[in-house]
Amino acid sequence: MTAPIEVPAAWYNVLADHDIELPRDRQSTIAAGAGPRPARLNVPKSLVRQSLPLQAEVAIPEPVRQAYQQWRPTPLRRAARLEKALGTRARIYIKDESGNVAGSHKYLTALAQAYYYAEAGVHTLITATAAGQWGTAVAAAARHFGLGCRIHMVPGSYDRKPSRRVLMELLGAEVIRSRERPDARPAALREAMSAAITEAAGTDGARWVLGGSEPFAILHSTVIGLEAKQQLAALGETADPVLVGYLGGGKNVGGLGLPFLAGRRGQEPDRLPRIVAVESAWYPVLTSGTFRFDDTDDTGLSPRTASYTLGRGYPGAAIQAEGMRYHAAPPLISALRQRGLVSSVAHQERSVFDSARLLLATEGLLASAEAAYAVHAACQLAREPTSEDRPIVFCLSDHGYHDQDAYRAYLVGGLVEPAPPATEIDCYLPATAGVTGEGGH
Amino acid sequence: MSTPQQTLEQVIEVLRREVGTSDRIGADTPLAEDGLGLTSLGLTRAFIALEDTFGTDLDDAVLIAADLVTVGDMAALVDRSRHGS
Repeated sequence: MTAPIEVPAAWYNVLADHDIELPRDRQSTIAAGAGPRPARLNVPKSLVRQSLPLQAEVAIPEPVRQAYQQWRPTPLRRAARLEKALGTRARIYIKDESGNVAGSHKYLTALAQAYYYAEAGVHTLITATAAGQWGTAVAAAARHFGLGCRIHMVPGSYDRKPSRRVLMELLGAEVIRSRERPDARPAALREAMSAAITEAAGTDGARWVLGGSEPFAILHSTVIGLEAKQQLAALGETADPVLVGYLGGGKNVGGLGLPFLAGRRGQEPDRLPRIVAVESAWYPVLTSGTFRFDDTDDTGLSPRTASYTLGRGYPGAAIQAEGMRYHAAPPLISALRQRGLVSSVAHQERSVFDSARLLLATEGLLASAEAAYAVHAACQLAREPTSEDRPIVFCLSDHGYHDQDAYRAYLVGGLVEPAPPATEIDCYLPATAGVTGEGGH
Repeated sequence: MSTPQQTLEQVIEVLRREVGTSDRIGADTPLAEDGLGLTSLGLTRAFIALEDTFGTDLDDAVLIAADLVTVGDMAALVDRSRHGS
């Protein structure tokens, strides 16, 4: 049963509350092309302010909050049938973020970003999307605030998820199939991002919308955890929870988990709520990566950021969760991981889909290929000996109704081979450019 | 109210801190990779620092629309914004 609460009036800024300053980004090492370019702001200043450790609470602009109220607060649901099927006495809760036009938690920051870009006079948003949740969220947000929208979609998803394309096009966006890799490897999000960035740089009145990994995007998503805190309290849960989300851009795991760190600066990590970022065993960026400056795309137009990374050249594999096929972790999540405020775990694809199937059978919820990782991790945590001590909350960040292709692959044996052990995954980053003074490894 | 030269000096000071350099910075110094090497985010952070320095709010719409080549371009924009032109 859902406890009645209100949509928060402010986002939570962990950088300010815990006095964390992220390493300054550095200029790309990739040659961007012919000649010097004028310097230009890609992101409105108002958004960049939200990525700085200035205020612990950032007021949500009223037009954005009104948009949130169309579908929020979202339910926090006890997964009693799942618990019974697992044979556990742990208490598992599902924070269901799938009930909006985009079917995804990503709509939270898409709306906020579209608002600030519209206020800054931008008339077209250009972005890249892997599985399509982000593209749909941006298309819907652009439509809401009267902006144009162009979306570069990873080829695999463009071909396999026509329903996603239709939805984006119904919302007024133009969807472009991004280029294939010249080496015939499956094209990942990085290639689509490069195409979007390049187009935006050459289009007047348009801006590339960064997507999910910026600190302000995670800040916008803290509505998830702020609601969950109230809901857990209303349900009589007093112990610090274990908070679980898959790791893509960091919005769902950060959005759910970070508000639980509010007002607890200086406490030892083992005395804090446990925030678990779940990765694919093929992309264990937090679990096996190194903390270094790395290029985020191939254009040379984007800066290098400090993050846990497997290296820009890391080949990965064609896992079904397109939104997790990226070589680096978000800078904010990386900084929190380095400080012990976020932990990580990596899982193999088949077992993840097994758990997603169990969730569907018990709770009637179909998780996206990405959210399935959170489902599986929550199931595994529920099997731990001390699982009764604290409630387990996982974020059902997106529904899986556009992922029929992924589930079909699961059913017919079309998943990729199991990833090698994390210790055997090589880093494709040269042994340079460590983050000085940050204690990186 | 400060003069354009004073604004330029303040801008140079902010950029020097943002970039972390003791090299000469003048009105003709390019902002991007052939000069100070500022990233887009670095440029935005510099504008935020200038807002705090001058106690003023720089219009997002004006900043987003601007193509800035040199430090002088940036200082002129700040000066226009502060004087309402």
